[in-house]
Amino acid sequence: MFNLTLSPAQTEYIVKPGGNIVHSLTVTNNSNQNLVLTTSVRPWVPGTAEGAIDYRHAIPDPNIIFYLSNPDLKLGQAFNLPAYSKKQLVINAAVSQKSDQKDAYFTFFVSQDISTLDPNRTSQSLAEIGAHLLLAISHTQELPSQAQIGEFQIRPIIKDSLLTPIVFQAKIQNRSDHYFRSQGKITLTKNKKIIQTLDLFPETVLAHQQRSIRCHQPSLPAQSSPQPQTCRLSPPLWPGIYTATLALDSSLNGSSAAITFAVLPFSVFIPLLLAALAIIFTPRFLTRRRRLSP
Amino acid sequence: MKLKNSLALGFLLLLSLSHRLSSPITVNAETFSSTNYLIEMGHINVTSGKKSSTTYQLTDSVGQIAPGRFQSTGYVVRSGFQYIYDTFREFSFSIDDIDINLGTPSPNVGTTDTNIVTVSTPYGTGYQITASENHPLANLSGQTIPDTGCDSGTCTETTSGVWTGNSAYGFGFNVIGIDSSGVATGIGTSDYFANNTYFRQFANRSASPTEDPQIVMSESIHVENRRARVSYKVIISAIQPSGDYQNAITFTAIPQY
Repeated sequence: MFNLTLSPAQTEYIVKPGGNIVHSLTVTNNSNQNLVLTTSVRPWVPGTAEGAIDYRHAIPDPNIIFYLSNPDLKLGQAFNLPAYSKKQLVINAAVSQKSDQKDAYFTFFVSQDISTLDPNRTSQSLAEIGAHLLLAISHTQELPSQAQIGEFQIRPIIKDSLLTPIVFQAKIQNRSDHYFRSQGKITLTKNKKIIQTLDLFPETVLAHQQRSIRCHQPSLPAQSSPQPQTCRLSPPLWPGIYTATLALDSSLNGSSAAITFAVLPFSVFIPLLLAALAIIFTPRFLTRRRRLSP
Repeated sequence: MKLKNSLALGFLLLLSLSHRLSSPITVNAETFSSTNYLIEMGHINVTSGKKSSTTYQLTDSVGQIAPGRFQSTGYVVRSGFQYIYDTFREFSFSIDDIDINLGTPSPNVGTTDTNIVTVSTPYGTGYQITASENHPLANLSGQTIPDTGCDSGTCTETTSGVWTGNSAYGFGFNVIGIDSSGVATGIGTSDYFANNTYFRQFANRSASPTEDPQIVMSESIHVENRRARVSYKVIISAIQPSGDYQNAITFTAIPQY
């Protein structure tokens, strides 16, 4: 059995060129078996706007060197983690003076050691688990941010006041050289009155990448809704003209975007319309048919 | 008589209250120490934690002085132990059985084995699990069982296909999301395997050019103990030398950023 926990799963650091970070990570063996493990670090690049990771297209940066500070362990060296025990791993990242001011993203892996496989046994599953390190290499602690809102749209096209929820979609584009957390809100107004506000969930938007927005659950205070959800407005809504404004936090130096849309009680209108048409045209149709029949 | 009693009681209450208000209020932080340690605690909470049912979710701090979330321009203070859950940042991954026992395959008979992978992520964070093999199934003489092409002969390490017939030879796998009872839900896996009849090859890291590990399960939301059943399957032809074949399958679990 393999059962490992890594904590923390992701950590962000700001480091100067020529600087060094020391990061502590705890690996816990939750299983009842001793595990022989090794460590490694791999660079990555963002895979999708939803947070997927891509290792294939990542290029190693020779200006950043990782090593472990544990006295009994080097990076890549196998170590034994007894059942139900934990070990603290102290990772150092040394950034060269020559390094550009930019971001670099890495995963620190703890893997089962393949050399422990028994060649006389049948196939075996090996497992590895990773935690991310986001490094912002910068001469300043205040990372300059430049955000932009893209593809702000509202679904569905026909907005019914009774049945279908209204979903807000947008992408936060990071135009700067360093990551930031998306912060902002969608404000819904009708007749210049605020009907509802939706707080954006603070997603990590990596340098020169974009990230789809998600929101805190509107029914709960922001700190109690750790699970982001689609930014949506649930029915019923009063019919009328609404304006949705997506505004980012001023620290992100981003513009706002607004969309005006109409909400109408289509789910009431359409059946009534069909019924009215049926009442009007059915007798005429039947009369015409009677006339035509011999 | 009743009125006199009430007045006396009221006077006593007033006296007690005025004494309380005029006395300096002392707030004591708690400190524990020995020769080896010193713990200074601002509060001892009566209780704190995370409670939930099917209809509600609650985090609380009872006993904390001024618990809550206080916000102004430039700062947010989260006072109370319940906010520790905002920073829950552990990532866990498990495989219940690392031995894949396909036995000694017989010609034209499918042999299978399964294990279960489980993943938990920090709040607000998704995950992705990739899979790969160190090489195709091989025996000690170096003879190999090729990776499956499925029934149509077209499935690869990136594309799955139906594999139900016994005349399509090879080695492949399926991953299907399951609930806590083991019932297939497809959650996290339906983008990669339509159902449990769909199989694909493991990405072969020894191939030339090498095949990159492929995502076989992923979600972009926080999960707790999300499970999936991995099914390994091998079918050999009559001309395949019998014996024990083996390889090492690596599952890599990472949080999404």
